[in-house]
Amino acid sequence: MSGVLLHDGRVVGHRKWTREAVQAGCASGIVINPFTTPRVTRRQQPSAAAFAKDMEDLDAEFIFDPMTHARMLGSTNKLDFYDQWELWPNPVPSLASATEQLDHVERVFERQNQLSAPLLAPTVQVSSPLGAEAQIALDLASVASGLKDTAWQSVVGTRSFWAAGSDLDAHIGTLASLRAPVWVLTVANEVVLDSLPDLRDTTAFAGLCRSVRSLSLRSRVIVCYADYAGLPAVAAGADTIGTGWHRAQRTFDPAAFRLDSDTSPRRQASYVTQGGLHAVLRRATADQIERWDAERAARIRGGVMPRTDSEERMHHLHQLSSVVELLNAESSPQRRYELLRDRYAAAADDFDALIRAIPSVGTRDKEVWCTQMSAVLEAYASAEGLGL
Amino acid sequence: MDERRIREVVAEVPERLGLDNAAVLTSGGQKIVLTGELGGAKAVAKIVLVPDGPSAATVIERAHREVELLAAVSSPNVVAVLTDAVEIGDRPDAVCWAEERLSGGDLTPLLHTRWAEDEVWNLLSDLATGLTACHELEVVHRDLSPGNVRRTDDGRFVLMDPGLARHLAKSALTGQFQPGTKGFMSPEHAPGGRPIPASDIFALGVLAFLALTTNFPVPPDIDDADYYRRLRTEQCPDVKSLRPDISDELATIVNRCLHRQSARRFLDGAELSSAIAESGRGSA
Repeated sequence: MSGVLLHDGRVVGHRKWTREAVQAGCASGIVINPFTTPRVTRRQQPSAAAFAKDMEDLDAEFIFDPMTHARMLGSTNKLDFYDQWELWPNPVPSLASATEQLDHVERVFERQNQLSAPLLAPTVQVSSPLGAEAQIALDLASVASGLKDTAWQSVVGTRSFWAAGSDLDAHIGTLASLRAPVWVLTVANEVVLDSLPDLRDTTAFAGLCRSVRSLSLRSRVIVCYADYAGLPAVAAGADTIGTGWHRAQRTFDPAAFRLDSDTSPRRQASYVTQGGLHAVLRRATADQIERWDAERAARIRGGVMPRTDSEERMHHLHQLSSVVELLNAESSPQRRYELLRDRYAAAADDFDALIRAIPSVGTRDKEVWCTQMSAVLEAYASAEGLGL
Repeated sequence: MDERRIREVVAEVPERLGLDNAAVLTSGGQKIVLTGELGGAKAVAKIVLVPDGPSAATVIERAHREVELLAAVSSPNVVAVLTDAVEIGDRPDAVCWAEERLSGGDLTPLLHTRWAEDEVWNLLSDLATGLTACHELEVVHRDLSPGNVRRTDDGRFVLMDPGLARHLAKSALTGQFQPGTKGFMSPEHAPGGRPIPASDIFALGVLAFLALTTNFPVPPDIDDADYYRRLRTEQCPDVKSLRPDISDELATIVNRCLHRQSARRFLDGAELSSAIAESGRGSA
């Protein structure tokens, strides 16, 4: 399976929307986590088993990500569902010893087996490939591989990790030797200020792409919490990206695991995805584009104007999954790069036209949705010798 | 250790190992090699003299590790060990063991002229087989260099002296200085690195590159810091740029062995062996 996976969400309607998206062919499955989905059904929160059954009925992918990397963050305290899962022998989680690591991995695998989910090894968030946390990540991966050599593996790193150059490459090389059939990668944000993608750190995201290319030589690669920011990684060889309805599903936000945070959707704003721009703009802006040139607006948007937020959810997934499928149809790294490069070039032209014609479309929109992503793609391609 | 004690140690070894018709073959540094027969088969006895001082424990441990590893490996391309490691003296003064005696010599004198393509295929194929046996045991050789590879009279290449090998699961490797021979190190040998099976593949790539071109892909005659920097950050030159006459298949394999990023290389001996088999080349 490949395409677009939906990350977990607590919003009412998540289960229904997920089923609809999969049924419509706009998503290939879901990734649930123990922070967001309870082990036992609670009022309006269906249990993980219910989601697993839904996906089985729809012949879709179902993944249980233990999100140990989120649990180990110092700020994490949203544990109402998490503690139900009993993923640790003691109230305070620790991975300091080999015994503790083995115990945790075994518990995670047991829960995944109960849900008939693929065994996905837990990991920790790493900020440097040379630090102690990197060693714990390698140890956990090794333990998981030793228990089940077909276990999927995770890599979660902050920007400084993905920007670590040859040290990153060495770390990825050590992991690659485990020969996991599937790699699940995440760029961990330390702070998320708004809903916009942030790919200013070109070196880090090019490092992600380089790692994706390396791992995809032998394995399938999924890039979590990515949405449109994951497209350069798809060009580099990932076949699936994670997304969802809201910010905490489209980008890894540590605040989503904090009690005092509110990552629920902001009701005051409504958005419309512009598929040709690989961008999500405010509905008011989308309306202005429509009034400016209806025919051109339809092409840029990628279809008819979604009238409601419900239609926009499906429109967004359709636009995103379409471009992922388009890239996945190309097998050569060169062609994947060229395809996305050409799309970014076309999007840049459209942005320029919109900036000239529509007051609410600014250079900042082009910067975050197009220029930064294109720069990442070019940095990756240049290092790989693809841009020649 | 004085000369008299060394003579006593050498005299004691044949009896302790059961080596008949023993005679000194080579002697240098802290190592003495005897020839003889063990159960009627040609054999050598290796004697490692244990120095005084704090390095004694390391020398003893390394000798035991080498024998333990060789005893666990079964491959026509890894030298066979015939006895356990035996300590001589109470201190002990030496550690000795017996290995099969191979014909031929090591690669050092053979790398000054360009090899024919077929011979390089054989080198890659044989050593990939030897490395497969090591890597299956999660053992990294870490010092694959000309002095540690023997070419027998019948043209077989055999891996020797895994005295610096490490079992991946039995050692904490992070941040340690990694031993090896300059010129034949991998990017993972740089300080702070973590040699993995793919590091041996890189070293084998260096051997093949040298055999084909008489040049090092990363020259060792520069200062250590620059050497490590180049290993870690620069891609080795395309071997075909120096040997345009070789086949694309061989160039592809050698270049991939030498990829700066270990994940882009063959990950271990088995993966390299498979690639050679798919090419239809190498030793039968």
